[in-house]
Amino acid sequence: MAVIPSEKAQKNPDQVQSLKLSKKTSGKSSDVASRAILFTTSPTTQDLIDAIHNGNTVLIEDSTLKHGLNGFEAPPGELALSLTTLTAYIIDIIAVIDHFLLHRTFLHPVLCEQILTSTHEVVTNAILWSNLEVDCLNNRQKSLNFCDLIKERLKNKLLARRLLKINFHLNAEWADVVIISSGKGFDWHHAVSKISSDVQGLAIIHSFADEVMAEKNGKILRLRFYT
Amino acid sequence: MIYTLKSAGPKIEVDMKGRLTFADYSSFREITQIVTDNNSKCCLFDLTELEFIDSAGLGMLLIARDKLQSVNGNVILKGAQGQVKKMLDLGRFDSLFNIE
Repeated sequence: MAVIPSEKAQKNPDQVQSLKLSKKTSGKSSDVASRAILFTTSPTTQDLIDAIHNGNTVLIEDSTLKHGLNGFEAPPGELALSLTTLTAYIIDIIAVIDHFLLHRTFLHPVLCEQILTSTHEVVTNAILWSNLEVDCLNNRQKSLNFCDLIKERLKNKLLARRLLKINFHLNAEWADVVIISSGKGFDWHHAVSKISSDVQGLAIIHSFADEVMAEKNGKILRLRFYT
Repeated sequence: MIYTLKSAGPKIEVDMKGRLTFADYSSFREITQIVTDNNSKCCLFDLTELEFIDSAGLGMLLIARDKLQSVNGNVILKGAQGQVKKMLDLGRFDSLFNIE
């Protein structure tokens, strides 16, 4: 594994302090090499967009490494993100995913919109219900004071440092998105059986994704979209 | 989401711009507070420049609707397009709101 300074860090080391180094790895699950960047501090939205723009496919926040990197070697054209819950909450995750999908010209714009909307819903579920352990059945999400509850939970370092992984596998026939959280998980099947106006996020995911699969108590959610 | 208050009083007009998501509870709470402070009976949300909405954003619109309905008022949604229009359709908001 070669460790090289990232292009952006070489050009302007003072501007992007978080991009301390990048790794060049060979994906074990693929013959195609992937480029990885390790962020030693919390990356900003622009850091992530720049990293994608520069051809990096594996973006890792340093403090998530303790959770392991199984399944995160991504070949070019795909994307793997490994972030803490706090970072995932703070950054504009929609902008990052949107930037990634923007250059996948083989995907129809309507499909890109469905992938973006569904992925955002699953990521929100992973952050709130799984990693921050907000009780989704107490209806507090309907209250505008919900933002205070989220901020309160994010003050808990154990919860804020929990892992969130997002992995995209795209080809001409289908697009797979896998979202992994390290919290308590989410009782997906129970929630799906109660889909109503109170659980609209799940209804949205089911409307847009062709297949939805939950594993490991809802800690892993796989979405498949046929192109 | 960035909002602009175009008029206040019995009828409030709010322009929304950008994305309305679960990160916007705090901003939306400001809007509902303005409704309360003005004893408003009608709130018009202009969604023309809103690019994206998620389930939490839909929920916020429902909260505004509940709040206005409790004082025999109503919420009007205007100008939704693209992803926002699709999401409103998915939530069957045409049966819940006045849509211009």
